[in-house]
Amino acid sequence: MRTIIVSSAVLLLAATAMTAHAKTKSGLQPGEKVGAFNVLDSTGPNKGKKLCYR
Amino acid sequence: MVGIFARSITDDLTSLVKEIDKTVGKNKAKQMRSFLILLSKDVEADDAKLKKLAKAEKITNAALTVFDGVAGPPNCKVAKDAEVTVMMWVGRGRVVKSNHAFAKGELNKAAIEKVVKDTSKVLSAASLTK
Repeated sequence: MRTIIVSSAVLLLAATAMTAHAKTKSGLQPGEKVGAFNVLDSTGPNKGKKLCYR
Repeated sequence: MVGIFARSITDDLTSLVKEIDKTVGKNKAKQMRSFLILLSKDVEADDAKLKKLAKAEKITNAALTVFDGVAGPPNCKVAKDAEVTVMMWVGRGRVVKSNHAFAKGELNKAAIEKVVKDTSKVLSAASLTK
């Protein structure tokens, strides 16, 4: 019984540690191509213009 | 090109943008460029915030921009839970060379250093395409 409890605790700790180190995944990954999209430029020489920077 | 997609302006985001701005300044000859894309539900208000930020923090090399919509451009696949997503790409093919994503609270000094260090990937790749 004690072995089962200890094993469960170890597994729970391992799962918690894995969750804590899970990496956030977002955006295009290396090798993928960036498509066009428009933004409003707030600063610089293109201030106030809607343009695609990619 | 370094594209920083963000959902809000925080101190850590400001630090990241300032570091990238400095890096772009140092590498203008290598045609390095960068832009912050603030994903917005109020474009006018966020446009004003970015103008204020650029002035206060003296950000001159990186462009500060607003995208209309908190979800971000669909073709950029910005995740709902990502507070900041940094993508680096290069050349006419606009192929992504590096990706860093951070949930709320994950962007810190160490992470910023890692992102800045990774800009070398687009600089070396850019020199190869010349």
